[in-house]
Amino acid sequence: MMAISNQRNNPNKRKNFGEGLLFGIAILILSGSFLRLGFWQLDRAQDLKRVQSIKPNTTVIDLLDVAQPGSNLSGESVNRIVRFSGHYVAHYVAPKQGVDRETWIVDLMEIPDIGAILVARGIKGSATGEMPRGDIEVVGKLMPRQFEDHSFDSTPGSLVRIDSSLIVKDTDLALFDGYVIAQSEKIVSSGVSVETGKRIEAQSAKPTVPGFYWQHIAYVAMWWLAAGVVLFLPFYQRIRSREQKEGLIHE
Amino acid sequence: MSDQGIASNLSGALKRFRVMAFVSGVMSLLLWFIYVPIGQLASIDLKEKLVFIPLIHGYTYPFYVFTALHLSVKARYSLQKMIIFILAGTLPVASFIAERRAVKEHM
Repeated sequence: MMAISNQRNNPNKRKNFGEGLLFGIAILILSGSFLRLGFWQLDRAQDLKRVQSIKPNTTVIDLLDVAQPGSNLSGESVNRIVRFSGHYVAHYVAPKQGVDRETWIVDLMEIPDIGAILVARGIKGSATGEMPRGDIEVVGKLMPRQFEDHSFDSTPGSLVRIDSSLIVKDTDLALFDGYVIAQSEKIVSSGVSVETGKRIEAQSAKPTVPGFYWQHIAYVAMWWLAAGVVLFLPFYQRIRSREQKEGLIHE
Repeated sequence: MSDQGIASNLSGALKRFRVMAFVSGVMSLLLWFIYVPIGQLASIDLKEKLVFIPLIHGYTYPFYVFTALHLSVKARYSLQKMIIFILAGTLPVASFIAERRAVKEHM
């Protein structure tokens, strides 16, 4: 009883206990953070696997069934064939696109009362380059925004990558994430097809989760290993200090 | 454990560390001086072809950490030195320096 009382009243021991407690909490927070990062990375790996396993779906659906302006495009929406109508409001070109590094004509279509979406309409040179007037119905493949620049040409009207965030300053309309590679366009009032020259061959877009499955798994292993190392270090330090006191090791 | 005891116990751990320090160092060099600049400057196709670099680096680094831990425990390195040895695998050239230091110390 007396010993306990002495321990409680000893300021040095209380200080050591406080420091030890803080150190312990710091170790747990650090280790927990690494563990959590590992789980986050594992989620990304699973998201990537899930998106990769989605089979191509050629059924034409309404754009608004799979995408909304101002929201990120989900992995399931990518590569779907969508239909929507509206009128073109702005004209852009996107140089060095596709396998042959051609310049694409990319126009912004306003969908009344909804927002606007970028439509890759054709390859420059083979197409007239003029925006069709009036209400146009578009059927095309929904693609995720491009993450990497394809060209260095940042002059007005030129897009270094097809990404609606690059044109936010040009319009007040709510923009959709991603873009559509048009497969066909027709004038709503007459049903006549719009001639644009050579259409873009839409490859299937790669998953919206960057990286590779086994790359993510490697990082999972790394984060969890880091968590284990952080937990191990204080024990190692204790063993080492004891051995030092006993004169078993020298600095 | 005496210094002699530590030294006799160390040769296997040191050999494994040297191998992993070399592999990890080479992969770090490729990652920092080939893959990262190409990712910024060259085409996306080329970057995809070189994706094996971060992949191999990602898998070799945990093994490097294990060997660095093993060596540090066996040689009873200080906590600070142990952490420096572990982190050396993430920077180009640093793992080569760590390997040289370990060799100088124990061989």
